Amino acid sequence: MGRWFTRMGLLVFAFGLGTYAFGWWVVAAIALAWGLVAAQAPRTPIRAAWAALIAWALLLVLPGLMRAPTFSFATQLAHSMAVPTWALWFAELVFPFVMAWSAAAVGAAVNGGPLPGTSPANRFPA
Amino acid sequence: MSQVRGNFDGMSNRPVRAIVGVIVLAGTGWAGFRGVGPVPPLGLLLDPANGTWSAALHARLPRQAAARMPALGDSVDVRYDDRGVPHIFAASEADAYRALGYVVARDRLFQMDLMAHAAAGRLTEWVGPRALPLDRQVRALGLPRAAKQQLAAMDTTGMGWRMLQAFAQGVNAYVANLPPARWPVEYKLLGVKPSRWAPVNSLLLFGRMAWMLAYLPDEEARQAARAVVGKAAAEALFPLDAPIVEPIQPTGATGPQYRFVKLPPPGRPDTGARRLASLLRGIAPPGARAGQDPRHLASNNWAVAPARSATGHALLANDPHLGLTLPSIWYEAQLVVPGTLDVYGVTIPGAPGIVLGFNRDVAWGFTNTGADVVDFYRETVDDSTSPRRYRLDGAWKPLAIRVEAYRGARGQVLRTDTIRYTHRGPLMHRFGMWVSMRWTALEPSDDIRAFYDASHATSAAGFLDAMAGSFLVPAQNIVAADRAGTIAIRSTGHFPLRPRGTDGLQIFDGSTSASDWTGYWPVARYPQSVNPAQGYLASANQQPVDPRQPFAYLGDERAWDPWRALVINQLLRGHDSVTVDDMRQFQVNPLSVRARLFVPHFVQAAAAAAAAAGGRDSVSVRAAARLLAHWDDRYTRDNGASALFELAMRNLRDGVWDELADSTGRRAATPSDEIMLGLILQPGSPWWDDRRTPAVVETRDDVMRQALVAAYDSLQARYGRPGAAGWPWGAVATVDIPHLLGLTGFSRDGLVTDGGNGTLNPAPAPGGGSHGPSWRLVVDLGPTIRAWDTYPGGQSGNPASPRYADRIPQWLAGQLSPVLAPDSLAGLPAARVMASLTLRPGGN
Repeated sequence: MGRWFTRMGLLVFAFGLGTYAFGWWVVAAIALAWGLVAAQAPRTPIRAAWAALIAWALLLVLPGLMRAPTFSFATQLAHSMAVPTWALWFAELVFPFVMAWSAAAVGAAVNGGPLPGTSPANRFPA
Repeated sequence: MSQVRGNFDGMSNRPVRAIVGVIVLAGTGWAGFRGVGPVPPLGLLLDPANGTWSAALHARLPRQAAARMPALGDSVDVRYDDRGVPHIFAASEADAYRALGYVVARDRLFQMDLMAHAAAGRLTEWVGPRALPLDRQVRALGLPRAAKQQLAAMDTTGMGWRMLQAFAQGVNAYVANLPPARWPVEYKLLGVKPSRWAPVNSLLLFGRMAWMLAYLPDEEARQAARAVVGKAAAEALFPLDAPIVEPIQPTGATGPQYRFVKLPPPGRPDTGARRLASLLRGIAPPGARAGQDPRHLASNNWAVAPARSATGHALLANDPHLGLTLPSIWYEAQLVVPGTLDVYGVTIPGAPGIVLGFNRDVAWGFTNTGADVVDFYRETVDDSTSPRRYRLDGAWKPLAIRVEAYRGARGQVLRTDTIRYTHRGPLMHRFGMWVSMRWTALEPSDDIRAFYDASHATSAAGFLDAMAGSFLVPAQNIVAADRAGTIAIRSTGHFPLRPRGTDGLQIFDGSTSASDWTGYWPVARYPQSVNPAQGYLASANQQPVDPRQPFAYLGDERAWDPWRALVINQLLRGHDSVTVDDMRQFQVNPLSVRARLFVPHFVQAAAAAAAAAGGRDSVSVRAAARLLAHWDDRYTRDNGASALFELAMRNLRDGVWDELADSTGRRAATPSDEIMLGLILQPGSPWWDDRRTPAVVETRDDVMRQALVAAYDSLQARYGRPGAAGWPWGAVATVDIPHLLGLTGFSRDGLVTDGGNGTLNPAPAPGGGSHGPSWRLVVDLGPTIRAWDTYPGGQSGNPASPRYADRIPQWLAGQLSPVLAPDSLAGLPAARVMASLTLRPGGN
């Protein structure tokens, strides 16, 4: 379990740092790489998706906790785009989720991901 | 759920899983890079670190920052005070203007870039074909070409040129080192990137400002009216001289002069006038074409001599009324170069210099003069569809031909236009004829030099002379006051000298050079005054000179109603010891002279109706008359009668000017309320009869009563039964300050303030609007100049910044902030320094 958390934490960190340093598209690159590397592990795409979502959520929330007007700006931005604020937050989280899931799925498929019925014991250790 | 997820996650068919993954990835990639339909690229929109959210991450200026600028001669210290105003301390003027470019870009980059694109007719490059009508109009008028020609004609050793270059270097130093994460949010929403700043952009902005302020609708309105009711009636409805006169150049009179004339009855239509009306409509700026009244772009300024001021020093006030936007039109800054330059005030983001403000000796303010500076010429051309030459004095002259290409966001050509020019200006094809246009806004000028020289003036007279030397358009009533106690005003700009016996109200024969302007008025002829006996000077866009004085045609003198001029003159006459706070209160004074003049007539019409009905008149008319009779004619936000009065006036215009409806049924033009007031004094005029009711001949009192009752009933239908005092003005008429892109979340709408139509503090009519005082300044010119100001917005262009709209509450309340204007870095109180920036030479 600890290993699982460590891997997940590293993945979140990679998504966060990559996004911060290079931009949003890095999510797809990291997820693709993760899919290739962890192709045999269970739920590789969905794990990448959640990690990307958490990374982006942290990138938004942490500055907000340090006095950046993230939340009031979200309201302004959503209003400007004629969508409810929750819809903006939803899109904000769904976008990296879908991008990471699809990229990891492609990576896993390219490298031969697990087939149905594969014994968990044979999979990449969680 | 987990089972579903598990099945999906472990999709049994690997190729299918790969295909689905590729499709979804490609879809997110496409949406991320290109956007979907109206949605901008999602990547930059949603990226939490480098996308739109970075506006929130960088909402505040860092406490300390440093940057390098290659062109800088020496280090420059910039200190931002607690109002977000940068104070620039430089060793040379060129460095000061470089730093100004840098700090303006730092706060307002998108605004200046957008304005430059709009002024250059290049908005399609950002937003595609929907901007084509705007871009085509700008280029057809020749504004971008004129700016390029002006730049090419500048003296490259002069200060105007050097300021332009220095400012552009400052902007570009900022842009060059700006990572995408720091791009203003609007770039990310539009999916575009910041452009390098070309020196010509500053000239384009001045050209655009000239376009906005030099266009006035009255000449067009007169021609449109003439097309419907004939020449005599049109000239009486839209007279060149104002019927109510209290001019800018004092006459010695102690009050306004009322000179109403009898309105002739509607005459036969003059269809030829429609051509000139259409030509004039073709040059109207976007706001006017969209139905906004350009007369809202008005202003107040006044100066009080030491003998009438409580401080014993000259006092000066200015509040330019413009279309309000966020980010604000103005940006406040101070530039200090020891021993050379010390100027404080506001600049238009993108303009290299302070436009309105003060230096150590002089303060100044502008209002729009509204001169007629555009004429049309019917040209004879060699080919009616694709001319290459035009006839002048019996010879064929080549047309200058320029092909304008409009490009889309990816550089593709969306459309091309061929624009032709005679020696007068751009050539247009209208009503089967070719017409060229001459306009002072397209003539060579050196506005930058004018502001540079003026910022160094040491006296009011010196300031006015500096402006008169190079500032040509749009003509402005410039008031100045100095520490020596001099107050002065001059209507400054290029006023054309036309061929003898002509004015600007006709289409000239273009085939002869005898139709051309012969020059411009000499400065000595400009309307002006220095230290008048009355002890004050005031302009509120009213007629500059009493029309009874020998005077040549300047333009449409009654373009603006006189109400604000009447109020400020009344207030200044009534105070012989004006304080600084009086000046502030005058700027937000809600008294309406217009209401004071009209209300008794409405009340009298209601009383006449009651008498005629033997007391059986309607409840509405009695209630409405009671509300107006108890009103103090002040447009305070909680007064209950001004909404009723405004709607009654609107109904009155609709009821009276029915004769001005054109063949489509729309009113071709609307005479001013001054004319309406004169008509009220002519109860037997045929204009009172409503032609839409042929069986009845309406009287003046009928029409006024009906207007009042309809206003009362419509307010009751919309807002419910009135309270004891009526319907609060603040609930009916509000101010909207829209974002430049019209993004509602970045706008401030439904703001409540005092003021209304014709008050010194103008505010929109019922239904709302977005014009008003764009800046308010009061200056006390004592041994040490003190000043107070505010504007409806904030210093930052970042919507997430606390400085984006922080001054709006103060502006709404009619309050001002004391200005911090130290003469040296050491004079800046450390406690009021919120951020610092050091610019050093070097870098790329």
